[in-house]
Amino acid sequence: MRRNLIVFGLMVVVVAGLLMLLRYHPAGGSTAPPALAPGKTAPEFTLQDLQGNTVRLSDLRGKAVVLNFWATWCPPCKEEIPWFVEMQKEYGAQGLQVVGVSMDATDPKDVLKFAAQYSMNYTILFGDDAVAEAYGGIPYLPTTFYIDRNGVIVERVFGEPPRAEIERNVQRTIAVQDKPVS
Amino acid sequence: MRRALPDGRRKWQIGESENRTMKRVILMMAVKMNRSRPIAQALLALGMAIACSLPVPAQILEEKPLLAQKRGPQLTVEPIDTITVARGGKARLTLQLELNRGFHVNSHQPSEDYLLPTTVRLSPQEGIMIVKIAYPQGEVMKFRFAGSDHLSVYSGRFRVTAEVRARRDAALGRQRVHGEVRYQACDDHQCFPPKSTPLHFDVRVVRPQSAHR
Repeated sequence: MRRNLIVFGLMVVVVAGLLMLLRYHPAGGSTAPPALAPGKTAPEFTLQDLQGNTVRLSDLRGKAVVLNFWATWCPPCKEEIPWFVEMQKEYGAQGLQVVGVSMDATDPKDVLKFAAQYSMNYTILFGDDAVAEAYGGIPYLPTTFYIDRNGVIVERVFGEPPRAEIERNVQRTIAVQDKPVS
Repeated sequence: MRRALPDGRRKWQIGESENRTMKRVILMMAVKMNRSRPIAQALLALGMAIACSLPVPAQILEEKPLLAQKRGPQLTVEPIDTITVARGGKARLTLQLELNRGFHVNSHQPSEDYLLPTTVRLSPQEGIMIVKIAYPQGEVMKFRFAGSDHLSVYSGRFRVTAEVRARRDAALGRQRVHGEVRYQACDDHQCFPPKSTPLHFDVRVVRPQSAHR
């Protein structure tokens, strides 16, 4: 009887293990829709920059883009800004373009003032509902997408990561070579 | 066994007694299997294995709260009793606010200019005035995401008070006052867009001599 019990127990463990293995999906706990997962094409957008120029994501084809959703009232966003300024200085020559999409609902002058105060040397765009929706709703800030030269999402990061992680993602993104348009 | 979670939700949890019962059932089944055929034994083992591999409690056992509460900050205002105020007199208004666990909001006087303060806005009808809105002092805290900045924040339960005044010519009777609490919340890693929680309460304007009855 004891032997049978052991065999029975082993069968349960082995089959349960196999079933759990089949069920396992390494989702990473992210809430972003699958369309925005790494490997997918970043959604197109058309927004205005601080000078009133129209900027489309497709205009940046050939550049590695860091698309950072932020707001002036967001302390972790503010913490990241000097790091993005440094990344733009250091990797701009290698084709990096940092793009900050301001999700402020306040007077655009506040964003202009903030950008000057923090010496933001990269493209700042005024966000809207359409871009937020296209990028998963942006329920919290900061949210950053790393987009390669071909417009493909390399990584997406929610919240404020350490500077080293930002730099690692920048290096990964600029390392992807431009594919010739067929 | 159902247990209440701190945020008001209820969750199924396996307690000691349920655990003992389950063990007893499994043991009885295994003993019975000893007398049956190997195929039946294998089928039962497979069934139990499937049961074991079903989604874990977070996915199936956790119930949704009664009020739809999305993941994210929720600032709630406790119901406010009717405030009775005499014409030409004043009464105290107390708003009891509560923010769900894991989040904080900026205080009414944030430590940095760029932060959005928590603000109560009330719109009384003519003849009623809400004055001297008093906010608590924020708790000064340091967060990893704010670098060297120390932030003045509220979390958990906090109270805002004000004075309700009725003019001498205010209309007698009950009036509803509508308002909102505007706030911008963060957790330890990220921030959420500004939100507002609507609120309302009734003010009953009475003649001066009947205010203390």
